[in-house]
Amino acid sequence: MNHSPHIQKLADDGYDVEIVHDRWLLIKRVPYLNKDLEIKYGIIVSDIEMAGNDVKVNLNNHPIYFVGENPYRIDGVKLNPNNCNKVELYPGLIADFYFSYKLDRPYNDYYEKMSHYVHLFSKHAIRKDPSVTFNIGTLSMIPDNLPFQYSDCNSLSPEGNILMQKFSGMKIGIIGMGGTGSYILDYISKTPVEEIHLFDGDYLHNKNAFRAPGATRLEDLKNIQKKTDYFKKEYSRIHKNIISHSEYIKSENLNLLDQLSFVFISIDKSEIKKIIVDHLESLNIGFVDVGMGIQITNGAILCQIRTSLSTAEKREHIHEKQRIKFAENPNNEYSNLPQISELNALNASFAVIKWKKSIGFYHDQEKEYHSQYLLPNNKLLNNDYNP
Amino acid sequence: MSDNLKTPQGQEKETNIFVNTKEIIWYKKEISFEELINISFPGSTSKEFDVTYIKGHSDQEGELLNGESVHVHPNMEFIVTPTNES
Repeated sequence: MNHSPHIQKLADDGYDVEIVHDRWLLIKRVPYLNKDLEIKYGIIVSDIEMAGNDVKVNLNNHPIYFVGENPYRIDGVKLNPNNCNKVELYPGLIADFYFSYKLDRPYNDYYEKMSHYVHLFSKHAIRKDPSVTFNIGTLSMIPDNLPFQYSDCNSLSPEGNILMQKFSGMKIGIIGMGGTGSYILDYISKTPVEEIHLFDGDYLHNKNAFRAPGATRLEDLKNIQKKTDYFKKEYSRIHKNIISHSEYIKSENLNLLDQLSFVFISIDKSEIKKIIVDHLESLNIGFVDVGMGIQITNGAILCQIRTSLSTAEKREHIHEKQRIKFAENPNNEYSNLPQISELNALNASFAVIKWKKSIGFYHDQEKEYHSQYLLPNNKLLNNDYNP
Repeated sequence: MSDNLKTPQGQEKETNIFVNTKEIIWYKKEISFEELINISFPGSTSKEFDVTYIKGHSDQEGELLNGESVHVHPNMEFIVTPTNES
């Protein structure tokens, strides 16, 4: 988060200001009167709206949270909150009240918004005892420790916060940065996983630009570069910890996978899959293998989109039912086909959704470990249930 | 084309099915993984295909593995594709 002159001005005015996780702005030690007209100190909390890494002006949100007892006026009249439900804004801070005082226009900036609320609560305490103080003006920051280049400004419910913690510390591998792998990266880069490791030995070619998310720059195609380096550069604009391994996985470098929490396998070479699968199984690492079967028949394209999960709880279907094919098929036609990036994206979506189900982020009532989407029939077939 | 497609065998009844969107007449009660590959990829020696079906008897649907067969049903649909494109 970049320095905000408006927030700095709050500290300069003598308020005790804290910015938490780039998401919450706190004015601490705000004097107010409780029901018995005793002087108490509370905390006013606002969400922080951002434009990129800059704190916004012309704010959209006018309400605030209050931590403390219900404030009263000096004449004994209660200041009515809009909501009295306790809300955990983040671990360690529970708000008691929610107040919504509007101006007849949006607040210009956080200096105006926070000063306004401080004044509303504190003027009654100051009337009672003009010597009350706000503390020494300070501005402190508690960083968010998230792997993003900027805050998502998404004020989460307590349940939402707990769900987001499921991603923390995870190290994800994506083997194969083709069409499907690049869309998998697109989705994973927007989760707060600790690290994302990309594996591919191939170079970025024109055809890849038509299979990947976004719009590749002409210069990126002229400057011959490895796919993993290109995608690391592109997606490091949002996620801080993307690691490029510009080599194919083979028996000699399998150890690169050893520290991973979960792996996406999105490669079209079948034979190498066998040693990757064996290695991941031996290390008890979960993985999703994806694949599309494509044909041109009767003048149009048909396709099946396969998503196969394997975790410590269930692995035998991969082998007994040959859900992952370990031998090459000479009939593969992909390289001669028109580009079908939305099918790559769909396969990537199935894979990432299945992973998020496996870590409990999404509900999973079906617990299928293998599915096929039949494009001509718009039909999803589930198989290999984990009872 | 396999012989099953050309030669009706006595009382065997004809069933219209779809394989990779093409309608064909099938003269046997069952159809196997291998037969479906012969129909859609004549001459292929590979077994690395994904074979799925829907609209079977009682709306049966699922996947056929190498060596397996399934009862055919009028208007049943099969999809046979080579696997593993990424």
